[in-house]
Amino acid sequence: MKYTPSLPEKNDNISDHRHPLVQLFILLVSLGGIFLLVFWLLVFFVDMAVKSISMENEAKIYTQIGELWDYEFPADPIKPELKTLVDQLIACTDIPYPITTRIIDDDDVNALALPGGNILLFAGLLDSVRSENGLAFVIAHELGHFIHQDHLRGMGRGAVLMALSIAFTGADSNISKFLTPTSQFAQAQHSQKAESLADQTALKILNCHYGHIGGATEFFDWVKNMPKGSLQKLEKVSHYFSSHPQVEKRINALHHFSNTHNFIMGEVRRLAKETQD
Amino acid sequence: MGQFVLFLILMTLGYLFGHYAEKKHYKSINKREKELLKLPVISCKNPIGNKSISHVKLSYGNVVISVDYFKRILASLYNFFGGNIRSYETLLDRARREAILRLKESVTDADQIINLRIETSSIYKGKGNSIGSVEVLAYGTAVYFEKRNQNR
Repeated sequence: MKYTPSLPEKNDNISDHRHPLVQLFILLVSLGGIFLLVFWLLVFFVDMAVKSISMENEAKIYTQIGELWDYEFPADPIKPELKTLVDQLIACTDIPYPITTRIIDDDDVNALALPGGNILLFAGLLDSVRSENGLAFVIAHELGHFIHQDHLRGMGRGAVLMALSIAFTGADSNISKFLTPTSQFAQAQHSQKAESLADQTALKILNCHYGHIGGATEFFDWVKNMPKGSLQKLEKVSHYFSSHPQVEKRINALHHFSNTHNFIMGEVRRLAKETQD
Repeated sequence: MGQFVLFLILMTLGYLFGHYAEKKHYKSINKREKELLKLPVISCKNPIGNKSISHVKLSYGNVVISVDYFKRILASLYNFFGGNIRSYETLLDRARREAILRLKESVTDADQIINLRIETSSIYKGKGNSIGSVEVLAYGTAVYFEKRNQNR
């Protein structure tokens, strides 16, 4: 036996000689693609299931969390003028459960619809709108979320997302972080669609209550025409628009929808000082 | 989102430092392997040739290498799809070759190293049982032949 000193010409112990970044890219695209595909498929079933749940049953689901909102958002008592407006708008919908409106003493130009028929109006919003119709549109938009059962859909999507993240990556895995942008992309798409639908419903409610849709774009116009220097205020508004379609796009969509439904513009009512206070 | 940005920063740093360290290590391994090529290291129990043995001694080379953040993430992606985990293959390849080189370097005056054995173990389990660092131990018997001029 003789020893011949030599080194191997190539390293057979490394199977994949592609650049690590290329490997990462291929793996990420594949994982993201499969994740989105399964996510959308499951979400399709969630949406089907939501359709079969009546609004009455949906309200029952939320009875448990009603007290939580009382604790989280201790509401200021709302003015009778505002309550009347909200009640009149509800009369234009088929929402079977009571709606509670809360004023939050905060500068945020924001409004939220919380599960269980709770609408939060931030003081900053009341200061920003000029007409009753403008405010009515924002409230009607939040009512639109209740009509479309968006919270139930959101909960369903949240459950699907959590289940998929765990199934794909394990409960506490580093690669779940890769799925963050993918899931945010999927969620944002849903949110934008939900916001557009809520806008359309708001127009219908506005038309039902006033007989016209005057003042519908007032709030968006205010945001659009805001001076560019007022960044601080923009930040507060941006929260409301974070999952919403861009303002310009949203205004155009409103005009388009009102044109196709032959809604007419009319005189807006000045917002009563008492409502704003 | 902030957590994701931090994650991307860690990935980038892991890739840059890990890539540099690996490149530098392979360069050093290739150079030293050529230099020590003349010292035979074999896994047979008996030495090559019929020369009489003067003495033997146990020799070993040991190395611990850590996985960088980028490699760990790449490996966890491979865990999902299956297949060869290339990022760990280079890690272990480097560790094995480095251990053998250190074994050789510890007995450069020997004539042969026989009965080579290599053992691998992970000495630190990362989060979620992922591999953190690997240890490779190469050991063998360094054989010294009798020198003819010494006998006379």
